[in-house]
Amino acid sequence: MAMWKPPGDAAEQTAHDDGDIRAALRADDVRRALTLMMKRYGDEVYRFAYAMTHSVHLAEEVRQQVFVDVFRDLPTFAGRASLRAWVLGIMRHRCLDVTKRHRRWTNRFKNEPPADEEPDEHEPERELDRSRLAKILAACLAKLAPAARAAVVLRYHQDLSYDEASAVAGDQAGTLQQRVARALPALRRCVSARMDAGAGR
Amino acid sequence: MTCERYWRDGIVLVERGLDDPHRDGCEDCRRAHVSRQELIEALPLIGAGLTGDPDWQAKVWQRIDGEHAPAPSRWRWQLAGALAAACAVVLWIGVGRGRVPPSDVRPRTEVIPGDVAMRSGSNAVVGDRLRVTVGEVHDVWIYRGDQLVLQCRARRPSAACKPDAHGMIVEMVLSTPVTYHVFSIEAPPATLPGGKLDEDRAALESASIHYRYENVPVR
Repeated sequence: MAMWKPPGDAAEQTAHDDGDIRAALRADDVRRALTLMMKRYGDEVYRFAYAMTHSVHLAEEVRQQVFVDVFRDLPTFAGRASLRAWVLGIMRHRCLDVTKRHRRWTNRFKNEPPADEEPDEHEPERELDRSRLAKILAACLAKLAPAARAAVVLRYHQDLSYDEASAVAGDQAGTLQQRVARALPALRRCVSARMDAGAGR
Repeated sequence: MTCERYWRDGIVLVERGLDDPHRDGCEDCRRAHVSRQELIEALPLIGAGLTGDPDWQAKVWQRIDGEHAPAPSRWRWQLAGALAAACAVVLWIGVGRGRVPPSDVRPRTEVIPGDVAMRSGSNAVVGDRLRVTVGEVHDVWIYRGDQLVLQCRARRPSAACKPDAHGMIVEMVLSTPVTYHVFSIEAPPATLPGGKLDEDRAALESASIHYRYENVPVR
């Protein structure tokens, strides 16, 4: 299990480290700023997108689109929010777009879209349980409504405080708290059911 | 045993950062709280270790540089225009009189009363035949009213979907006095249409799939 960290730590750390990106922006060197941002936030954005879409292909599509959007909008970045929160805000929109498009496609065409491939990785024995739990959680998360999923991911996957998540999602912190409080029991039931089903095999 | 009260009310207090006095005296609720804690501790495991396409940054730059490519200068436009004109002449002479490449066949819809072909848009009547000619890369979906009645897939001949030298010819009898809707779809999706006209058209549009549409009212 991952160690629980007080919310906000990661955000403060990265906000502190964004001095080089802001310096590049002040120097109008948008390409360097984007290079630094891709290096710093690329993996995080990808994992966030994966948690939101439960698809390695869609996650990659979202990640690339996010940074194309970031490049386009960086010159007008006001700097009031942290860069991380700003990137995650763009990401959330792209994820919801992709999720909506994916769902519309699945609904319109009766067939399921091509099954996503499980990441093909060699897993040492001791990692199997954690890996299995992560896969089950990802599948269960995908069953939540997009808004609830985004709230859970922002709060507990991205480790944002509710105030930070509120700035990213554009919803009141109280609304996000309600969504998470309603989503966690559903998530727990889904995980339990799948774990039990797996154990029964 | 689970504490339903915890999952209904207690968890709201926890998310709001408030105390839940009930939990102190309730063993089931304490267990439920531990279970919640395990769940949220496991959430960061989702996607942990995944890094995606190793070339993703290069692809981002490719897209950016493609979108921000400088506009060609005037002489480049003129050169490109001259080259395009030369190519068009060569194609007209060399290819235009010969066989049309299958993928270039423009979808065509006709209504055939007896042996005389008429263009679509004329007054078709029940008993006429609908003929759709497409290239070899096209799918054809035909709807009677708002229901899908015929689907022909590229390179998969059937009784109604016959291959020809340029691609495929689809024929069916117009049996009902309603409007028939014909979609010729280029680079069609791998999945099947749902069967409802509006929904399938919306799905094609939302997926940005190029298609040609014609309707044929039948009296």
